[in-house]
Amino acid sequence: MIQKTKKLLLNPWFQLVLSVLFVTTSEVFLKRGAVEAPRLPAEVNWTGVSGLATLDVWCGILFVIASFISWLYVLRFIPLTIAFPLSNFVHVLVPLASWFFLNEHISVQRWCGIALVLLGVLIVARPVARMEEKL
Amino acid sequence: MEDDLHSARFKKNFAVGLSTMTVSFFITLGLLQHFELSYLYPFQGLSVVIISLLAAAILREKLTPRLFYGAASISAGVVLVSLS
Repeated sequence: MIQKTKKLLLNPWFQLVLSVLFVTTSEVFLKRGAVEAPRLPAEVNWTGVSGLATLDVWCGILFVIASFISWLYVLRFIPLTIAFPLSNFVHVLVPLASWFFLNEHISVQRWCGIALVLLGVLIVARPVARMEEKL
Repeated sequence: MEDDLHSARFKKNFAVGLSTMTVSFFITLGLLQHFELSYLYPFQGLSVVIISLLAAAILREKLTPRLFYGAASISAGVVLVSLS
């Protein structure tokens, strides 16, 4: 059992899935924290820094770090030209999570916009990934 | 490698990267106080366009037709989302 879990955790494709799930989870936590956070005076309100007073935002930050660690592991084994386009699956998962966990209503128009963004990112993704690989 | 990590240039770039990421995090948090997550998230697609444009300007990467078509699609998508 432990051996199996270990093998799964060492699989870069599994880590890619984890990374995408972590990103989605972090966004949901950040949104929840941002809503709970006390409103500061208008001059500093745009920073959202008051969110740091909520547990949800700290959970969100933990998941951001977790997704970063998974992503770094992924990049050790999978070329960025493949990993980056696949990672853009978050553009579908985040709205789905917003709908499911945050009860946001997503209109047909918004879904169409999301689809166009995803399509565009996939078209651009390969050149962008290639040049990040070079960096 | 050792030298690279300790060079002033690397340290400067690393510090700039880290601070801009921090600023962007807090701006996102601020925006999340006012807008829905499913409304804000698609705007992240624009970063791919901006990265490509900056890479062309600063790192002298070549601009490809793909970038133009992709950017057009992303922008159209963001406009649709912002109207929703």
